This record gives sequence, C-alpha cells and structure tokens, in this order.
Amino acid sequence: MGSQCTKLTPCCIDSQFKATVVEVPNVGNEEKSEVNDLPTFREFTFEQLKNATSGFAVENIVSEHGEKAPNIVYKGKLENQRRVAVKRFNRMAWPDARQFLEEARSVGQLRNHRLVNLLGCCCEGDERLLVAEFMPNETLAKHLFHWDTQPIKWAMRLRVVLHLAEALEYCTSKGRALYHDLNAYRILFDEDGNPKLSSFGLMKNSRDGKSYSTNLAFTPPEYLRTGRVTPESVIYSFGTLLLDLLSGKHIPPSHALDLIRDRNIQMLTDSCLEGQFSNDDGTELVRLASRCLQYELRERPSLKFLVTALTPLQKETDVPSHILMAIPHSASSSPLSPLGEACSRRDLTAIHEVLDNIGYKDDQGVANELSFQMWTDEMQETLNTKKKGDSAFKQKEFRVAIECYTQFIDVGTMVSPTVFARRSLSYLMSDMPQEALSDAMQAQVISPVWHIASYLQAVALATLGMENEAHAALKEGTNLEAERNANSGQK
Amino acid sequence: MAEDKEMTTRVADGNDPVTGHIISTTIGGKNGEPKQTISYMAERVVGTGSFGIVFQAKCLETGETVAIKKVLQDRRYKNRELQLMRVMDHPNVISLKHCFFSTTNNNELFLNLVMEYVPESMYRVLKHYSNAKQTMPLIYVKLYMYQIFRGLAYIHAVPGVCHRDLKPQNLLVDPLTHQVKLCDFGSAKVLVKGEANVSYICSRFYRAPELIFGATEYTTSIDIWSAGCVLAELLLGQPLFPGENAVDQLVEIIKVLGTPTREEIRCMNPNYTDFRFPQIKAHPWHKVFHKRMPPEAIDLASRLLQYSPSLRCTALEACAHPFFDELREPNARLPNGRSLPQLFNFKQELNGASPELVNKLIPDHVKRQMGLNFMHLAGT
Repeated sequence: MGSQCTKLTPCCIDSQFKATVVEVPNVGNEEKSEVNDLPTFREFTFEQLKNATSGFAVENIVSEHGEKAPNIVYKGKLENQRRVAVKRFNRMAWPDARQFLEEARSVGQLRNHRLVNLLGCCCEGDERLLVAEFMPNETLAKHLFHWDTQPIKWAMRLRVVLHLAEALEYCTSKGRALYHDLNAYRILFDEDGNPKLSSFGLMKNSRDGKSYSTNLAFTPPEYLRTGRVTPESVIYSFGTLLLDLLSGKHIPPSHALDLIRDRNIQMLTDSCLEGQFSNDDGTELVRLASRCLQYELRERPSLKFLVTALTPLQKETDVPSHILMAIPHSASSSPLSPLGEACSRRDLTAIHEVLDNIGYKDDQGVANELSFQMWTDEMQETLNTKKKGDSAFKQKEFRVAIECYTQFIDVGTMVSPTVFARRSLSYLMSDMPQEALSDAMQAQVISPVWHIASYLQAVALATLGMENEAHAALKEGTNLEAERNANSGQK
Repeated sequence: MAEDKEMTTRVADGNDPVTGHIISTTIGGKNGEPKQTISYMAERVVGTGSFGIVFQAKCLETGETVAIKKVLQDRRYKNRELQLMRVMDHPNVISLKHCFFSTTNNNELFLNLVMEYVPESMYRVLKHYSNAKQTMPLIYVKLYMYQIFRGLAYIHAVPGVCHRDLKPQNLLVDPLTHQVKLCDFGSAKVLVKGEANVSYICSRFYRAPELIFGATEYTTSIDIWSAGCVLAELLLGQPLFPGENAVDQLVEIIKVLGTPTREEIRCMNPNYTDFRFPQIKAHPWHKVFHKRMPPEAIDLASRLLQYSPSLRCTALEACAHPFFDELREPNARLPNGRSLPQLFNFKQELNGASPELVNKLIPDHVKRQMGLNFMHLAGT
C-alpha cells in the first residue's frame, strides 16, 4: 500500500490532489488493485463542476435518457485536465445534505481497478453532484444490445462477468455490498476496453426509494415483496446480467428459468454467439445464472463462489480487451487531420493560417446575436476594437491583437468563441501558454463541441509540458473534428 | 358438427336489413332431412366495418336472439371466415349457428353468418369503467384474460388458426355469466410454416412489432402480443401503446419496452438489422402500472410483450400462469357469489401439452371430480 502512495504523488499534476493519501488498507484482497494516478476523494464547488461541463451543456450529456432523465450524467474536464463524468441529481433526490455527504465520502474511499472510482462530490444548496472517472468506451448495454459494428465476443463476455464479480466482491469486502439496480448500463468500458462497474450504483438515493429503475419483472422477488434489497438481491441481478450476456435479449428471469428447466437453452442463446463456445461452457454459465436467480436468498451463491467458478471459464486471457472489443487503442492513435497534425507539431504558423481562414464561421449559432436595441454607439466602438484586433491578428501583430481582443472581451456584451481562440493563439505566439490554455478552455465552455478549442488546449498543454493531457486533448479534438465532418456530410 | 350447419343456397329476400325487416331462409333438405324454414327479424345494427355489417336479429320460430354478419360474397372464392367458423367449437369462441346467401336488387351476393348473440364487448366494458373513473376489479381482469387465452389456445392448437385482429372490440362478454368469446374471424387464417402472409393485418394499438417491421413469416405469437396489450389495457383502463400512426406505434412500444436489442430485431425481421432506432432505455414499469399492481400481473405482461416472437409464452402457458391461480381455488366465485363460468373443461387443446403443464392447468379439486378421466387425459 505504501508503495502505491509514493507512486501516486509525483503523478499528480494538481497540487490540491497531493494533500491526503488514499487510505484503503489492502486487507483480504490479495490482488494488487492498480489505481495508479487516482486522486483521493474530494469536494468540488458547484462552479468548478459547472465549468468542467461547459455549464452542463446538452452536448456533454452522456446518460441514456438525455435531458429528460431525473438524474443526468455529463462528461466534463476538470481544471487539471482530468476527464470526468459528473452526475447531477434532481433536487428531490437527496434532501438531507449530511446523508449525501456521508454516503459519497464512504463510497469515495473505495479504490479498485474494477470500479469506475468516485473522485468527488458537490453539495451546495439544492445541488447534489457526484464526480467519477470518465469511461470513453460506452456501456455494456450498448455493446451487447445496440452494437454498431460488431457484437461483443464470447471471450469478452466471460471477462465482463468475471470482472464484475470481482468488483462486487471488492465492494462487499469494504462493507458496501448493496449495489442498487445492477444492470447492463452500470458497466462501462475504459480507454483500454476493460469493463468497470460504475460506483454511482453504490449510492442509495434516499428519497425516491427506488432501487430498481427497470421493468419489475427483472427485479429480485424479495424486492417486490418487501421493497428492500439485500446483498443477495445483488446476486440475483448478477444472474440477470449473466442472462443478458448469454442471450443478447431482455428475457424476464422467471421466463428464462422456465426455458432452462425445459432445456430450451437454444432459444435463450444470442445468435451472434453461434460457434463461439462449447456446449459445456454455455451449460456452466446457464447453471450459474439459474443458481443466482433462485427464489430463496440463501440458495444463491456468494461472490467468492462466483469468482472461483468464472475464473477457469476465461478464454483468450492473453489478448488485451481493446483487441477483443476492436476498440481503437490510445497507443495506436487515430490518424490526425491536417489541423491536428499541425497542433501535434506545435506549428503555430500553420494553425494561424487555419484560424485566419475560417474567420468567424464557427461562431454561427453559438455567439449571441445582437438585438436592435443593443446597436448603440458604444456597441459600434466595441465592434471596432474587434475589427482592429482581427486586422492585427491577420498581420501577426499579436501583442496588438491581444490588447484589442481583451478590450472586446471585457466589455462583455458579445460572446464569441472565435475571439477566445484567436487570443489563445496570440498568447501562444507570445510565449504565454498558461493564458493560452485558459482562453482555449473558455472557448470550450462557450462552444462545447468545437474541435479548435480542444486543439488549442492540446498545444498549450504540450507547451506547458503536460504531455499526457496534451495527448488526450489532441485526441478529443480529432474526434470532435471527425464527428463534425461526418455531420456536415449528412446534411 | 359442420354438416349440421350446412347452408342452403336458397336466396332470401334481399333488401338491406332494417329494424323490423324479416329474412326467411330454409335449412336442411340434404341427406333426406326435412326442409325447415327459419325467419329472422332484424332488430338493430350492432357493428359496421369495411367487411359489411353485423345486426342483431330474433329468430321468429325459436325466439332466440342471434347476431348476423352480412358480408359481400365474391362469387369466385370461398369465404375464408365461413370455412374457419365451421370447424371451430369452443366455449370461448363465438359459434356459428348457420348461414345463408342473400341477393340484392342489383344482383350483389351477400353471405349471412348467423352466430350466437353476446350482448357486450370488452371495449364497452372498459368504457363503462373509464366513464366511472374506475379500473376493472382484478378478479374480472383474471377471469376475462384467462378465457381469452383459453380461446386462443384452442384456435391456435386445434384448427391452427391465427386470429390476426385481437382487440377489445372483438372480445365479447356476457354480463351475467362473465363468459368471454373471441369473435370476428374476418382476418383470421391458418398459418402454414414457411408460407408468407400479409403483414398489414391487426389493428394499430394491438399490432405486434414484427408486423410493424413488415415481417411476413410471423406465427400465432402475434395474437399473444395483442392479448398482452389487452391485459395491460384492462389493468390500466387505457391502451398501453396508443400510437397515432404506424411509425408512432413503434415509438410508443419503445417508450415502454426500450429500444429492441440487435438480437431482438433479428428475431422480428432479419431484413431490418441495419435499421437505426432511437436509443431509449426501457421505461420503468412501476411508472407504467400503479403501485398496488400484483407482481404476477407484471410478470405475465412481460412474458407476453416480448420483442422476440419465439420468446412470448404460448396461450396455454399463459393460462397456467400464477396470475390466474385465484381462479383455480376450490372456492373461487364471482364477486356476487355466483359460480364462475366453466374454465377447466379442456378438450383437444391439451394435446401435445407437457404433463406438468396439464397438471398446472387442472386444479386439484377438479382432478378429484374427474377421477379416472383425468388420468386418461394426462396420459395423452
């Protein structure tokens, strides 16, 4: 444990993360849980999380129901460039602030490589938010039920259930055995394509009291009887996940048990799995599923038993998950666009050329438009300073450009991501990378999916020597640019 | 049985039936039977549709009330509905008494199907409850749904018929005995494995998703979907999937069941696997159904409303579901203390069912009454 802490400190970029040390005694858990560079749990201000998510921009919503969900999950980026997922609860969810903080702090103590770890929370006024690691490769539900290019392979399915059992076993060993509403949306894939269990499900939402959000035909029978869940209920839900992985369909467990009893396993099996597994493996998984789905709590197996039973079933253990999942890995980065290429080379001249060429085109629909009343003399003056800034920018007189753009920004009647991008580049040209980074982030706050903002962050971060973060920002810019091109291609 | 109903081709008087109009026809006269005249007095129209009309009539000779469905007959073809009705005989299926042709002045030929008359439909019963701002008492939901499944089990298994238009309007209810009968076999067909069928059948709210996807090789499980919709409607007091048009119908289904998985889409129609759907997570069912809903009702509904047709339970399995256990209690009664209609007088519909299933379907107290007969039945 001690070695882990010393390893942790130099990796932290932001001094605020150094303060405390992860205090998870590694008792009873033989396996080393490599949670290298994870900061300890902390509290955030609402302002920090608002900025991290570009003001809770719709573009940053990553949860399934979109805007209509009672609790929305956003992707975001903290000041120190760490990518995070931010869950914002509805106002009624946690009326008791102390209870929320206690729960969050307790879950925040957990650190495990099988978990999407909880990094922090925010509890200000009516606002209740949780912050966790960001998982870039979607949910199990997406890969299993609604895949785009290829269904999830049998070997990977077996890996998912083993890792899930290990995650739950870890939580149980730390006294957090109750996982609420365990389902295929609660398992996410990290950038290496490894499955991880969301820590959000460990937080019991006190007010709505609903531990299960899906069809009640899929919930443990005791939950229907008493409205309560026990550690054995989690095993039951684990059984429904085994069925999901085997079938690729939503089969009510009671019905699945009938099919299993009638030896109708063929009807249960996902057609995508044909020829991928032996009868024995299939039978073993079905046997485990039906044990987990027993009506009597005490007849359901323990997590320890499940881990032991699932371990020998594993296939292709030497193949990394991202290859099984066919996920483009960060090591084999996707090809860069000409602009991305220029940014990775920190070719400021080339970037200047691009910015000069696109002008204010990308402000459309983002920058606020002026109403008739706002056309005052003062306004005209502000526009003139912008014009002056633009011509200085064109002439590469960057000090003048910074001056003019600053005047324009300070007046504040008009908001333009392009102006921030231009000033950011001007700062880079003037060897002021910290200011450049701040402007590039400001541009992203205004225009959350603008690739230029990410690219400029990448250049600024690289100049500041933050290579990993620069790399992540460059990748983000590349993805955003690709999405943008795909979208404009559709129109 | 079918022979008794052999129609005569004597053409009856041919004006449109209006109240008080009398239609006379003769039956018999074949195989040396004596000819017999039967006259019906049309009383009122009880239903109209693209098929023609249904009117209530009284037999003047016997005083019996009947329903007569009058449809235009294409002289080139046999009437499929008539062919099917002739072979069906079950307490939960409307029975054909006999039939005759009639012509009009402009020489159009009409087929008149004379059927037993049942005064109410499930549609009207539902309306009665919703007007009173009430939902149907659970005992009636069980009683009605059980009989619907018994009727379906019979038509699916014995003549192999798929109804293809199951909905509250086509479910008749006797308000006194609470007996339920499937009616309107105008869309029904014997489905043959491997043969294509049209997908533009069934009324919108009750259409199985594979029909919306244009599947042509569907099975009798489309009736099971419709029955699932009817179950939900009896429980909720309003249609579960009230789509405004064909596409919206699918959206309504997805809103409750979630986006079908890739595998489920393949099960419905393999040609549609490249289709993109809006990604919607299943709606929490505790928001669809009220809190006091018994878990058995939800379990049954989810076994009926499965995207994968082959995963929907069969009508007979539905009859055996724990939701209907109350009906199998030895002292089960109607709320007014009267006895339930006959629910366990199974016949050929049990052929091919597993001994376990048969065992569940026939309550112990009925087995004891049947004595040795049951042993014989379970053995078949």
